[in-house]
Amino acid sequence: MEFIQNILIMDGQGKFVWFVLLVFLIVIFLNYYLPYRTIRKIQKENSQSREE
Amino acid sequence: MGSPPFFFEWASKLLPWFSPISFLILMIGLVWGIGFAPSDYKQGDVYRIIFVHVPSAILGQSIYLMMAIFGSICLIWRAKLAGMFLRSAAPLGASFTLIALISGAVWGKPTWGTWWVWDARLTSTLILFFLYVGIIGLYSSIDNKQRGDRAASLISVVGITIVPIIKKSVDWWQTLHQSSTFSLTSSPSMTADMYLPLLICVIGFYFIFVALLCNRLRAEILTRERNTGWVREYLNNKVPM
Repeated sequence: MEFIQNILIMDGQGKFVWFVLLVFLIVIFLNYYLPYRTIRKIQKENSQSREE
Repeated sequence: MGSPPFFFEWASKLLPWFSPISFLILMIGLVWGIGFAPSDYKQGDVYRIIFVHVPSAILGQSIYLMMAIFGSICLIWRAKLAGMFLRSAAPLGASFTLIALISGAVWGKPTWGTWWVWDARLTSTLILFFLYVGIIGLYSSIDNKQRGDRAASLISVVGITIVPIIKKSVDWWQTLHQSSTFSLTSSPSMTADMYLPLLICVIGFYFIFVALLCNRLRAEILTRERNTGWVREYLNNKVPM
């Protein structure tokens, strides 16, 4: 428990480290998600045009 | 290899392998670096930002170098896939450079006492970020894809001069920024239990870049080639995700 607390707080410097990690994860997630959304949109448009 | 259908199939096969491998390598590097590497005797724990900052900065410059190579290929041979690579790599380069800038600013506050200084390394990295933004903006403003490719190629080839300036800025000018962490000619300035997780993080970042690039290239190829027979055939055999 103390080990986890030390990692989280890091003598008051944890907020800097965890914030950077959070920014990194958000940017990576967006870079994964946005192209998937584009592909899904193209697939949906194609299936709609086929139904018409 | 230069044909979009071939590359699309290749990227689709590569993606399911690269994504989990890159995630695994990155997890090992980050957990080791943030959870188990020793604290720095001077900076304490805040130095752990290095495990995100340095790989992002290296990748931001490497992606631009790759873009300049593909830009040259696009200008000389008019290869369609090279233009698609440029268009897909630019947002990734901008993202990694932005992470490097933000993490650098957050690291600067507790160590230098300020978020930002107009120092040679920081300013040249900011210029690199603006170059990426310029290339993305150029693609958005030019409707003709071929013209957009040529204009972006030109900027990426001309702008490559910024990469050696960033690399050498800490040697050429008096800066607050420390000298390079990685060097091919000298031994590392940090102990193995700090250096190894950093090395793993750098490798993990390169893997994640390949995975993200494959993903973006698939979307870009489908967008540009959506009226061709092979894309229609591919889409007709797929159900929406």
